[in-house]
Amino acid sequence: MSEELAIKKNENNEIAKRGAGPARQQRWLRPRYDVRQLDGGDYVLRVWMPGVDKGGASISLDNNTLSITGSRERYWDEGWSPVLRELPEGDYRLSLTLNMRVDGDRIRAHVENGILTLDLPLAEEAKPREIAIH
Amino acid sequence: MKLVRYEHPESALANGFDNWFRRMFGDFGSFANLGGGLAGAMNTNSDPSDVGLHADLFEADGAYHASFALPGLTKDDVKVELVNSVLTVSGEFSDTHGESERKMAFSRSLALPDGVDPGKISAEMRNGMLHITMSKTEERKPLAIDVK
Repeated sequence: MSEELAIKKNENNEIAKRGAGPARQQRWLRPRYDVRQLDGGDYVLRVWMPGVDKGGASISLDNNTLSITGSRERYWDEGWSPVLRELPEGDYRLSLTLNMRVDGDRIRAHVENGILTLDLPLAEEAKPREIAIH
Repeated sequence: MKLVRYEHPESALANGFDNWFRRMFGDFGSFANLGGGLAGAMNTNSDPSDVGLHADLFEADGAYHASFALPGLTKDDVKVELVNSVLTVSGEFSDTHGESERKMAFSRSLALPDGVDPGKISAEMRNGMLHITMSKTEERKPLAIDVK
């Protein structure tokens, strides 16, 4: 499948960053995601980030590294006493290495119902093209 | 969102969809397990949390607050029921990605430790999270007695 080849998670990178964090440790969650390639070659990435709204998500592309963070809404008050805590604490962070050239100017993102969807259009030079024979 | 008649969580929909929820919320599941304690201990066979829909439950002054992670779902996909202090969240929806479409279902029940006033429950879907607020019945609330 193309998705396995196209995008590789920066496992080492994330661990390194976590280890070098400041004293007040930020807890990061790695969100679930999937990738689909459209007929034209462009990619669509979906990232599951329940509790994150439009303003809480940030996306950056540095060379071929796509970084996504999502800060979750805090839905409980200090004074509440926990009876059951199964949902993890922390914000989301995902760092992906793209092995194709993406047109950064045309990346489109939207968040709906806690899922971030990113349209990743291939850069023109990365698209397959037919060579005419004269 | 509506309150409807209670069905036993082990019946019908509740079973057989465990795997999907593990895939869907895999990380949530594993993080909850890493936390150990209650969540870890509850992830055994036949336990309600085995369906993989994880929850937070808080007790506040006169109320309970329950939260569930249901990314991608809208209020029309979710059903909330309360019977005899057992709160059940369930639903069905389809996950569409390109041409592929999968039908999904889930169910999770929480036994509330104390009486809840059935007339005073509110539920809201917000950014893929379901938040439910339930008021305790009057007689369960701490009562200050004037000493004469």
